[in-house]
Amino acid sequence: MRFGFFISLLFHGVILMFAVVTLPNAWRADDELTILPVDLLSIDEITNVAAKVEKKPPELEEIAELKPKPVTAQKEQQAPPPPKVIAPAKDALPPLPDPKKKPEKKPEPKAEERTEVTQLAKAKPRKKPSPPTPKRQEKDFNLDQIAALLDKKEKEDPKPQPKQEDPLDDFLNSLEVDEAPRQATGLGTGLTMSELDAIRQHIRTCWRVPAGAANPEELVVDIRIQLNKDGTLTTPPQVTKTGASSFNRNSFSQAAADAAVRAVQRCQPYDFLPTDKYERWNDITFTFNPAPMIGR
Amino acid sequence: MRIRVLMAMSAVLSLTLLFPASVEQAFAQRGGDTLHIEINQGIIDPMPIAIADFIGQSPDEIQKGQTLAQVVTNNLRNSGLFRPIDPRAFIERPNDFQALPRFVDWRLIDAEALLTGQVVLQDDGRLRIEFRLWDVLREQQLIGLQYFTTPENWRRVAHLVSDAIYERLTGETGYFDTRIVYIHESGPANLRRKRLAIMDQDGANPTYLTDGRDLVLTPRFSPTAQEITYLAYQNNKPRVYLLNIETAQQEIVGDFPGMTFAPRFSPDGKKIIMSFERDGNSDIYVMDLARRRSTRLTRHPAIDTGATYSPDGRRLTFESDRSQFQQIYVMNADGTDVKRISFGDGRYGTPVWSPRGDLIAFTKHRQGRFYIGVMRPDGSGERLLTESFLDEGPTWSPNGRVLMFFRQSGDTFKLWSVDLTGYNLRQIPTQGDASDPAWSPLIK
Repeated sequence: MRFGFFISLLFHGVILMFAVVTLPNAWRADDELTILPVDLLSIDEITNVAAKVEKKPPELEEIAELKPKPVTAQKEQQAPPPPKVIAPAKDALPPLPDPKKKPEKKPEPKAEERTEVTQLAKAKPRKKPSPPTPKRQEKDFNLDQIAALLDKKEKEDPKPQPKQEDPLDDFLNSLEVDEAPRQATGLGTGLTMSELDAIRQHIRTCWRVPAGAANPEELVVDIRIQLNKDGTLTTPPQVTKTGASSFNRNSFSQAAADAAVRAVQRCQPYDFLPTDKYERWNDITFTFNPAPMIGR
Repeated sequence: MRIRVLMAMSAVLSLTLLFPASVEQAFAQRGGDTLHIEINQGIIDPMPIAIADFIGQSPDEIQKGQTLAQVVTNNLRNSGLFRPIDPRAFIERPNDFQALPRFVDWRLIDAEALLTGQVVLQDDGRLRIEFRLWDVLREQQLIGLQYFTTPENWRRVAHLVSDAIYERLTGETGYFDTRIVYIHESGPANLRRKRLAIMDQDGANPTYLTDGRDLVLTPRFSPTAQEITYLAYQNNKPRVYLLNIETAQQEIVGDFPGMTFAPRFSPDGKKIIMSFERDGNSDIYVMDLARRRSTRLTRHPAIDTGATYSPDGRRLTFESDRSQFQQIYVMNADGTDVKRISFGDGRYGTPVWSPRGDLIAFTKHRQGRFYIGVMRPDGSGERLLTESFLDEGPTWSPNGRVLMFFRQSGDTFKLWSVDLTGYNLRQIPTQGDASDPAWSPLIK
């Protein structure tokens, strides 16, 4: 009797646990499909338009107008600094002397075709002006931060409201507050299918598929990019994951990572993306997987 | 009793309450701020690369610098994976090896990679050749190396430079610093003179290894690259020979009462596998070169021949007509576990295991046409890469990406190469007719 009772209790417990563990997952199946949220968000977008567009856009537009100009100027000036890292030749060749290079690179963007390497190399003073550029950047970033703060304020607003105990008020608030669904962009892409396709199509034209390796999974690479509002890269692309682990990294995975980085760099600017959805595409992680192309 | 029941229930309840929380967290972390997009389609165009003439000071250095750049250009273009940009489009002409290139200028002409180099004839009479490979988009140096050599050896350095670039940009080991041994043919059809010849993989520096008095066939490289095994008819008796390329020393591999043919080295270079024919039946034998002892591997009334090892030396592939028509088989290196792997329409022969181990190349004959193709060692994934009136005798590049073979068109025989993808079919320049190529491993 006792034994039967314990068995029954155990079974009930197991079934209960199973239900609790699996049911939420079943409901959450959508979370794992990164594409599906697109549709949901595009609906949000439509439903949200009226309330939001009038309030926010003016602020965003102002920022947008200010941004592109300084950013493009900076970006070009920024781009040279990363190359300063001139990897020294493993075996033999020493790296080029740094002091000379830096001045060479920085002036180039300013007067691309006319300048000569040697003249520019001497122009050391120009090095100094370049540091100020990051400062300008910071200003821009501040603008972003301000925008972000504005967003937060709006986010915070809905929170106090739910505190009100009246369920009717809560419901009404949830209808009024467009920001709530609109800001929840982190969970989905927030872009329409055709916008995502446009990005894919764009990158496709820039990505030279790696020639192949014995294990195609070694060629899968994740690249994370962050974008300015004008579609240019804010910082050099980051390789966040490669197919080969750190201890078996080889020439194949390195070449595959390089090809992917070249692709996202070559494809900029991503200026075809809607600026009003900037916050949804300013940070993208691409997974480059050549397996379907090399047919293995 | 009740207390126990209560404890058990509380334990179950606490588990059910705690566990979902952790599950929740795990899923919450799945989100994130970044937008994930998978890209699985791209372009397979060759990569545009700018190859500047190597910088030199004296006229001799300048001239060497230009020819060096030309050899590298040809190598990379012939690989099919690169598109060297016409130097006339260059905006910048690099004249200082230590200066950073003006990347903007190179981006304007759509270059993704840039090669700059320098040739210096040193006081000690040696040639110093150095180069830097640049990523134009990232404005970074990808690799920089220097070589010291005798002035007449500049061409080999050009191949080494090509290999370094190829490996850095594709991830694959290069194959430019290699040689091809082949049969040079001359004279009328009824009095054909066949000589053993060797050349660089791009067709340069051809040299004859035999004088043409004896008929020679099926040369094969040793993995050490210093020795060749081949078949020669001396006094009308076919024998397998071993030839040292450096010393030109030649010896017979075993003196059998019958006919030996189709020799090939094992991956460690210590054994030769070949066919031995007696009384109309040929079987496969392996000979240990150190002990000069041979072992019979197949025992079948059908014709078994053309055996080659897998790169790990554990398996063998060969052709046999034991199922009425010529087909490809694989077996263990000791002759056990024989399996037929070719089942397509037509006859299959000359199987050669890829140095990467993932494919077997073959010649296929169907309805009067010949094809060079590849299949996996289990016989799946058959792909035909070439087709003509007569294509035969495939040999792999050491990195397993390119196949060379010979093709007859009319009365002429020429060497051709084709990329594993089937694109980039090209003829290798040779003086006179050439057949039966064998690709060397990378020269050490």
